[in-house]
Amino acid sequence: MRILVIEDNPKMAAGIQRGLRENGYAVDVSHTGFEGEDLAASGEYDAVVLDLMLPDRDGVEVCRNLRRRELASPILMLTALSGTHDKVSGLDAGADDYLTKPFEFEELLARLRALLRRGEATEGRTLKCEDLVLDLYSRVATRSETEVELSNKEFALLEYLMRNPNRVLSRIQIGEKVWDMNFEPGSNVIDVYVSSLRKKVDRGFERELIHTIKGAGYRFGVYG
Amino acid sequence: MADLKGVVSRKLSLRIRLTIWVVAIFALIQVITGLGYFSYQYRVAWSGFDSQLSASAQAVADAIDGRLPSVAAVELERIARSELGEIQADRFVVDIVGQDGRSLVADGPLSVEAARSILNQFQGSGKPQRLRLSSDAALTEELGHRRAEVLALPLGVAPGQRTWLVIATSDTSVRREMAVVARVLVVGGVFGLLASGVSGWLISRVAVDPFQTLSQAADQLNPASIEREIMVDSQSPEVAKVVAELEAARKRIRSAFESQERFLSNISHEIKTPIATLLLEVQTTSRDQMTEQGLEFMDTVEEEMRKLGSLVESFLTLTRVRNQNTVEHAKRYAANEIVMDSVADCSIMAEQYSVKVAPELASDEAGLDAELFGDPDLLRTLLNNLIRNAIRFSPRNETVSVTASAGSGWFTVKVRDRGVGLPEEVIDRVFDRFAQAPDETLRKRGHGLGLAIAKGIAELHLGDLTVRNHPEGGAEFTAELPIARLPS
Repeated sequence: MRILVIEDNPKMAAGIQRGLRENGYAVDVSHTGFEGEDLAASGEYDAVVLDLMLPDRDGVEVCRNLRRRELASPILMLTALSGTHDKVSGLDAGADDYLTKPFEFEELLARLRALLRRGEATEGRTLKCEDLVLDLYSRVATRSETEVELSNKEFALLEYLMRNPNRVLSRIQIGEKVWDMNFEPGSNVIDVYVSSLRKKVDRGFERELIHTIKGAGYRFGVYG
Repeated sequence: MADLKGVVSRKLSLRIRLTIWVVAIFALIQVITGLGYFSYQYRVAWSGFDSQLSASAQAVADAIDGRLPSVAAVELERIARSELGEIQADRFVVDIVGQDGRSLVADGPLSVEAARSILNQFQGSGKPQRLRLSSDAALTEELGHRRAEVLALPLGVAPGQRTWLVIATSDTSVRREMAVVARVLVVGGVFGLLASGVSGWLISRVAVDPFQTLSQAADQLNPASIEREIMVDSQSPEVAKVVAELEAARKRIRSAFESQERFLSNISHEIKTPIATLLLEVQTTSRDQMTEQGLEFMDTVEEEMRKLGSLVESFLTLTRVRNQNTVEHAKRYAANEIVMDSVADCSIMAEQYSVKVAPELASDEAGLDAELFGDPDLLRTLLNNLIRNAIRFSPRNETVSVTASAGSGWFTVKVRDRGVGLPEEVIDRVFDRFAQAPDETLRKRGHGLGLAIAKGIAELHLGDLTVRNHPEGGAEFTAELPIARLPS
């Protein structure tokens, strides 16, 4: 795994580089926006960590340019500004996630891991089952060619279900893969999310795709 | 007047003051014109009365001409009554007297003294004159008034002696006429005053309206609506000018706000970057070769940097929340998802404290559909602060429960810890800034802003945040937020 860090503060950049290397990633550092953009656009990196405030240009602009140059790798934005506006404009420009400085290095690692997992998964671009289509790139779900509005976690849950068709998935598995958490046995989180997803994806359609397996978990697929 | 002015200007509204002035000026004008009209009417009435009296007297003189000196008083009075009828003198005295005052008529009504007094006062101009008859009580009694209009007409009857036809009439008819005029003036004056009051009240609107328009305009000059142009409809160019100046002021204030925000934003960047660098440095430095002392130092630096970082962050959030009246960058967001985002945000901290966070989502139909309208980051901060607080106060291996539910338009999240609960004396103050548990053992490495921020965020979103001690132990915070209505 190769990661590019675009960060002008040399100490910050060095710190991130050292930390990521210790965790087994190959890391390159760029201190300016222009150089960073060119390096990232080469497509050799699995993920980009991008500072929002660079001396030569705005990180949001770099991000927008990279997306325009069809970079598919996930971009994690670092920002010292906590205003929602900055985050929103970063995400609008095509960043996948953001982290506000100061952050816990552990959190940076966790977010990167999540982004990389998704990056790997994105290769297929779309998942299909019957008339349900999940576009992983644009993150849009459609059923019978009607767009279904899903929240982030609903999308992640549906993606996980669709990647494992016709398999019984336990609540523990779902919790670990989708939330990266172990829920208490009595927790209703997964059931609530499945109900909500069912309501949006299955309700009103002849063929149901999400099935409850009593005492075991859930299964996704055409056959009940 | 000065007193009245003082009272009026101090206590009463501009509109009432204007009305009072209009009424006062109108009343003054009414008094002047009223008096002028009255005196004019008075003169007209008297001159009419007088010419009538002259004509009547002449007619009486003609009528008795030739019958003198043998005219009886009764006969004279009969003739006079028929001639004087037109001037409606209800009382009169008529007599023919000689220069010496002696009456030439049998049983003439005038006494010698009265006749002399009249003739003395009367200068013989031939025109009626108003005389005082105070010298003769009987005559005064007869006429019903001390003053009378008197005419003494010379008659050439008795040779060698001047004789006079004396007619004295009461002025009742003039007085009656003037009473009518006075009544008309008073009634008209009262109506006039009322009318001037009403019209003053209406006219003063013209003067007062601009103030209301301007106060509307000035009202729009507040932090919540500083982004919007000041809009009022004003017809007058004077008002439009002031509104334009207010609008210019609004623009200046807005740019001041903006530069303040930029400043805050920049300063936060300036402060946070070094903190972030140092924290990262400490967290990623290899500790294999370090001495005990070195490790301890590293831990202290890390902890202090983390505290400093979160303090700066919290302070900025609090400033932002307190300076806003409406939620900026608001959007619809699935309510359950905000709860889960917060739980995920706090999972690393929960691990560090060996505390479990157990979320329970709103599972009924209303809960599945519930969306909040607001700033998702702030709403997350609200719940993060509650959950972090609960983690901090929970004993190891205990559970923090985060329970969401939806009902009758409200989305409710309860965050409960299993700690010792809040002492009664601080329960009212937990949402104050920098409020902390008084007892050192209860104070847990917070900076005292988290709950103030949470409360501020809840109120900013038109919701509420309350706290109580759960009957089965531990503190329970309840955040209630309005569910966004479905677009109809």
